[in-house]
Amino acid sequence: MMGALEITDILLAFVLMFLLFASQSKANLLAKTSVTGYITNNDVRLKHIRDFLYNVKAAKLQGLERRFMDQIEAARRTQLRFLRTYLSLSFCLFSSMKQMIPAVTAATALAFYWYTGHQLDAGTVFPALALFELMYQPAGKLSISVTRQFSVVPSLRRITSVLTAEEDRERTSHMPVNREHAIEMDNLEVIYPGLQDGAQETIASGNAFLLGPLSVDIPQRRLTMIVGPVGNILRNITHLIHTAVLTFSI
Amino acid sequence: LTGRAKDQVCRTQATLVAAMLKAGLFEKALWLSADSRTKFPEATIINISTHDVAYFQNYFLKVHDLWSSLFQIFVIFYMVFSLLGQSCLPGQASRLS
Repeated sequence: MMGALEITDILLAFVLMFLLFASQSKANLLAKTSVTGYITNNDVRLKHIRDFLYNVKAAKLQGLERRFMDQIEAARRTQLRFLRTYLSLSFCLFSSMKQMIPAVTAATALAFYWYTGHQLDAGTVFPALALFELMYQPAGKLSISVTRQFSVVPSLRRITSVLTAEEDRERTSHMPVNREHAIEMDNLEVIYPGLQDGAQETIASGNAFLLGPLSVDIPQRRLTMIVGPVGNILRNITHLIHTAVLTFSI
Repeated sequence: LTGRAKDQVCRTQATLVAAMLKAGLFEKALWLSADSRTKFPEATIINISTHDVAYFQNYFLKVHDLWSSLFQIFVIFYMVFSLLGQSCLPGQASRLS
């Protein structure tokens, strides 16, 4: 009996495995397409919003709000369609597959155990069912993590494409780098508001304040950030640097 | 408890990766050439530094599942194999596919 049915069993197992593999691969590709469509249409939607905000005066003058709104709504509808596909895949297909994994595995294994002439007694069946149930969580995680490898590819490509895009500084890389600082401040003191005479008295009276002493070296051709609480001080420092640069340039 | 500790470590690492990517994208956006700016307008860069980085951050939280779940499956498979013998193979084949 075993010899007659062995080839058909193996063929059936291969067909089942192929179908499951093909459906999982198709689902993975569909998830990748959905994520790509969602984030690409998010770009389109933001572009329409930005265009409207940049041209808000002209759009209002010519009554073009509806046209922009239609474009934004169309982009959002397309985006939602991709999102619906992705969520349907994630929550329906994968969740339902995940739920049936222990039952299918246990049924297949125990049926084969019985088919090969063994007795299904409680001492075998219940420990086996417990072990199959244990496998439920890692098997589900494995299935989703394989799909996740496909889902993250579009985002990773987009991040990489920006990080490897051409820069302005590549064009000026042949220029010699001057190691000296572009701007140096050594114990700089600034009185705000600016006063010519009687500064100390005014500061003492509380009508002005002294900023500094300030010692800052700002390197050439490097990004320098001045960080601090919101207020006039930061603006004063940048204004001071701007004025000094303009003065010395002239 | 160990699961939560592992999650905490993963969250910390994922946050660090996301912060690093956002900082890198921000600095890169400042230096983009005119051609690159046409290719990557502000909307795209903002979208990439929020949505795409969030996708990658979420991916980083779960990337270890690829090997840890496989390891758990192999350990449980060994236990099932010692109980049922070769009969467990068809069930495992349908699971792994």
